[in-house]
Formats: sequence, structure tokens, C-alpha cells
Amino acid sequence: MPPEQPQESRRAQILLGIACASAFVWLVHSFAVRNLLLAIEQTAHKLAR
Amino acid sequence: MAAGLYLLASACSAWLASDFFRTVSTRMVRYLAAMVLWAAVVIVPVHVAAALQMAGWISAIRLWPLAAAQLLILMLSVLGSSRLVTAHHDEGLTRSDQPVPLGTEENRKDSFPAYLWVCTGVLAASYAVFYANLASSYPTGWDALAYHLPVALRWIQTGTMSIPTYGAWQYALPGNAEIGMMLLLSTGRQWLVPSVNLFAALTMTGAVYLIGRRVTRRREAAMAAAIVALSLPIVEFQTFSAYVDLFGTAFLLASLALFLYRREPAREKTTAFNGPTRSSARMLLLSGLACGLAVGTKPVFYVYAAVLCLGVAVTLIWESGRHWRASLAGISLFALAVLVPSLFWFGRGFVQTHNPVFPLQVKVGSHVLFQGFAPSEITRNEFSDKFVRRRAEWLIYPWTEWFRNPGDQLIPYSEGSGLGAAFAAFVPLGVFWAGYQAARGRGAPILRILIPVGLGLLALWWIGLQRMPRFGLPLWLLGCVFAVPLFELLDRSATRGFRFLLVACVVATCTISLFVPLRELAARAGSHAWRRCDVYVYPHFFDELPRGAGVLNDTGIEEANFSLAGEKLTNRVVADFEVQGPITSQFLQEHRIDFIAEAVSEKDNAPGMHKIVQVLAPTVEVWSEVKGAKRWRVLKVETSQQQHAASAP
Repeated sequence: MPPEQPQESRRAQILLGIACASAFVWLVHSFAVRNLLLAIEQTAHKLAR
Repeated sequence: MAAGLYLLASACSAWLASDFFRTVSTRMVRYLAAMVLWAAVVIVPVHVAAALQMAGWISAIRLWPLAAAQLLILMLSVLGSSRLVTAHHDEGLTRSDQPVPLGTEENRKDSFPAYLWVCTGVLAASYAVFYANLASSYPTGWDALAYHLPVALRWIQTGTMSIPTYGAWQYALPGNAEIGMMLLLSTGRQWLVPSVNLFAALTMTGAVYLIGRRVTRRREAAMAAAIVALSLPIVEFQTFSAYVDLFGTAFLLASLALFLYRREPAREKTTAFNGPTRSSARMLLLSGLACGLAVGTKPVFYVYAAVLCLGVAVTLIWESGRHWRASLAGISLFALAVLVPSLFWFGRGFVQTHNPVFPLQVKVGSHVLFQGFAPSEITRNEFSDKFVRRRAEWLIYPWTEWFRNPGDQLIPYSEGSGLGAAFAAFVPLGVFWAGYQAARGRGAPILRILIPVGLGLLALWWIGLQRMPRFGLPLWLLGCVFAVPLFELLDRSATRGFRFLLVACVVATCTISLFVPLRELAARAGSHAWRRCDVYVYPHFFDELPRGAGVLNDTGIEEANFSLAGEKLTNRVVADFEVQGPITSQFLQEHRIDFIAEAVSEKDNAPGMHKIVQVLAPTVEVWSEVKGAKRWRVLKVETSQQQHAASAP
């Protein structure tokens, strides 16, 4: 195994970790996600009526 | 029929002409070449006809003569193509003799990995639902209905593309995309109009993929960039609307992609520059054409195109070294090609208003060089504040996607806003990683140039383009390309986690975007609102007016500029922005108005409503109806009064 490979793998894991954290922040903070849940709730209410 | 023939013949011509690019590089380059040529072959003959009409050589732009001209172009393309085939045959050149470009053909046997197919499938399903929603409805979107479609319809109805004397900026913008819309409106199927943007989305995908391929040897990474680009809600919503930002962006990126592929990648490292070869000259020409298509789409693209043209000129001078004649020839060729699909708009502005870039005002300091509208009069500076609570939030916009008035749908995604999960997860990080690699002298050399240029353009977007998310579309898509080195690293070394995250992000974004068409479809199915007047919410009265009836939009609803044209688009609508003061008898007579449409909201300060203009002329109410929580009134202009006004001194 070339010496760069473990280093590259470690970098990739760190970057993937940041990407996951970034996606998590989006999931928690995005107005789009929050409003989708709200819209689903409203639609369910309308259908129930 | 004539429009269908026109589009079909131009598509065949473009495909045959793209054969000239078969010898240059990959199949994708030929595909992109065909797209650019098709757009040019559709648009340029209309420019010529419009110029002839304005010069008084023909009375009006008519579709049948244009279709005949298109058939002539097709015949010439067939002749040219057969000569090319003969030439190839004589040279004994076959496809297997072609040089193999950088990392393109060697992987042809391998299919893309499953996660990319899953993402493609999710995107395809999502786009299919948007398409089904559109096919069962009519084009929507504020800008589209307020002025893009009224412009296209005005060209059909009047047979001229000249700027009206009262100089409303909406009728004076360059309109390459609206030419496609005009042709599709002529087919009578209004839902086909956004196909212009479907075509643009395909062009954009090809361009992003090709630019990505110049950054990486792994085509999976370039494909991932194209997938993230297609997952952007702005892109998805614009694909099924009659906005024009995606159209201009697609051709701007196509121009960059074709410029990057102007020389054989396989030969690039081994051959010295000896001036433009025939194939590189063709690519340069095509790149210029694509840039010109973007320039003729919207003034926003002047900024991006100016930077691209400067980049092209500097690159050609740098490459040619002391061969300054070769670089001058290349620059001239590119500039000429840029002008082919854009010169008409500059010429029209100059001839009619003495300002080639009308409706934009040009001033140096306080001295006005060319009269027109200041950019803030067209798009207000505060407009962008509806996407963030405070301006500092722009730094974290991909993670907030806030929207001041999300409307009944509640979803903040639209033609003008939303970047999605995949963008938030990968692109800012990808730009950082690419910048880090470039700073360390690693990675593709092209990124060392593109990243600083992209950051400079970001500053320009902030200052000069009013921070409108859709005006920055070329930057967000370039951001997807900048993320290619990150995709490459993650796909190679963090395979499973990366693949799962990408699929999850695409699914999440598509789910949110999908909510809008699904709810619209369900609402229409529930209320059986399939008619045009139900979709656009206006009285059916306007669908039954005699052909050519003049209708003034005094409803305070800007979208009604298109909807009041009626089911068969036979009403001649005078748009709300054409009304400069009180509606007088003289105004009604000058514009040959038969009916005035008014709408008053049942609620005070209803969103999307402007104050209606006072009518100072005798009229009779002929229709009254409550529709969409608004009281609609139709006033018929009294004919005797019109005649009286006409005879008055």
C-alpha cells in the first residue's frame, strides 16, 4: 500500500464527517424541512376534515 | 404546424451540423454541440426576420416563411454533411482512429456505479412528476406570466419584435429564450412552453459534466456534480417554468465547456501551439455562439459573459505566445460568434432608443451616457431581503433556505429560491477543498483559474446583481463543478458513507420539491379545475371574447397580463405596466381597448395585488364575478365615446 493511501483515507473520513455535519445542520435549520413538516400536517388536517 | 416544422427541421440541421464536431472529442461534446447549434439555428433566423420587418422589408414576422427558410437550411446541412462523410471516407478516417481524450473512452465499458443510477432514478421520477403537473396545467411563475410570456405573445400577435414607443422595460429586454417560447405558444399547446427550459436543463447537465471531466479523471465525480446540479430546487422549478435564468446559464456554461474542449485533450500535452487548427477554430466558434445565446437572454448575463470573453482573450493570447496574429484571429472569431445570436438585441436597442443596452441605463459617475432604467428600477435592491432575515444570513443561506412569504404551499422552494440538501452538504465544503488543493498546487490547473474567478463573480453578484439567488445560478452550478475533487476523494476513499449521504441528500431535496407539484395535482383533481380559467383563476368571460378583442389589465394582478389573453390566446392584452397614469378616453382609443378587467380583493392588502388605476372614461359593467377571493369586474368601453375621442382635436 502506498504511504499516501492511509493519509488520503483519513482526510476522506474527516471531509465525509464535515459533509454529514453540514447535511445535519441543513436538516435541523432549513426552513424547507420545517415547512414541509408543517405543510404535511396541514394537508393531513384538511384530509381528515 | 409551421412552428412544429420549424423546430423539427432546425433539430435535424443542428444534428447534421454537429457531425463536424464528431472528430473533435467525446460523444458528450457532440451532444452539447448539437444543443448549441439547435438553439442558434432556431433563434438566428427569427432575428433576421425581425430585423427585416423593422427595416420595412417585410410587413410582419410570419411562421410559414420562417419554416421554409428552415427547410432550406436543412437542405444545406444535408449537402454539407454528405460532403463531410465523403471527405472522411477519402481520408480513410474512422471512429476508431480518433484520438482518445482524457479519461473518457477508457471507461466506456464500465457502467456507472449503482448509487449514481439510484440518484438519477430519483431525479428522473421527481422531474416526471413536475412534468405531469405541467402537462395537465398551464405555465406558471410570476415573471413568466407578468412579462416573459406576454412578450412572446405580443410578438406573435403584432408580427414585430420592436420596442413599443412608450418604452416599457419589460418589452425591451433581450429575449432569446422568449423566441423559443413564442414558437411553442404558436403550436397552441401552452404547456409545451417550458420545454425551452427542459432543453436548457439538458444542455446545462452536459456542460457541468464536461467541465467536471476537465477537473477529474473519474467520470463518477463529474456525474455526481451533474446530479447535484440537477437536484437544485431553483434548477428543477425553472425547468418547468417560463423563466429565462436557466436558459442563459445553460449556454454560458456550455460556452465554457466547449472552450475547454477546443483542443484535443490527448494531444494537448504533446503539441506546441501553432495557431488555431480547423477543429479548434470550430470549437471556438461554437463556444462563442453559446456565449452569444446567453448574452441575448438577459442583461444579467452581460456581466458573466464579459468575464468569460476576457478569460477567452487572455487564454488565447497566453497560449499563442509570440504568434499574436493567431491569437487575434481566435479572439476575432470568438467575438464574431458571440455577436451572431446577440447583435439583434443591441441593434434594436440602438436604432430605437440610441442605447444599445436598453432598457439598462449606462452612466459614469453622475453622467448618464445612455438613457434607460437603473437596475434598481427593474429589480429593487430590497427584493433579495425576502430570502434572509438579515443580510449576514446570506453566508449561511444554503443551510437556512428561509423565505419571507412562502405562500399557501409553505414550501420555500421556487424558480427563484432554494439550493437543497446536496448543495448544502457538499458544495461549500467542496469549494473549500478545491481551493485548498489549488493553493497547494495540486489538482486540475483549470481550478486554479476558475476558483478565484468564481469568488470574484460572487462578490459581483453581491454588489451588482442585487443578491437574487437565481441571478447567481451560474455560480451555484460552477460551485457543483468545484466540488468535483471532493467527490473524487470521497468516492475513492470513503465510498459507502459518501454514497449513502449523496443518495439521502438527493432524496430529501426531491421530496420537498415534489410536495409542490403533488399538492397542485391533487388540488386540481379534487376540484376538477382543469380549465385555463380555473388554473389562472380568472372569469371564463375572457375565454369567449371575439378574436382580437383588446383587454386592459387593470386588475392589479401582474400575472393576469398573460392569463387575460384567454384560452386560445386571441385576446390582445394591454399589460398593467403599459398604463402610466389615469385611464383616459385617449389612452383607451390609442390602445384600441374594448374591455377593462378589474379585480378587487375581498381582503385589504392581499399579497400580489397592486392598486388598480382609476378609469376616467365612460364604461359599462358587462360582467361581475367573485373568483379566487377577488371581485372581478369587466367594463366595456363605450364605442360612441371611443369614436368621440377619436374625432376630438
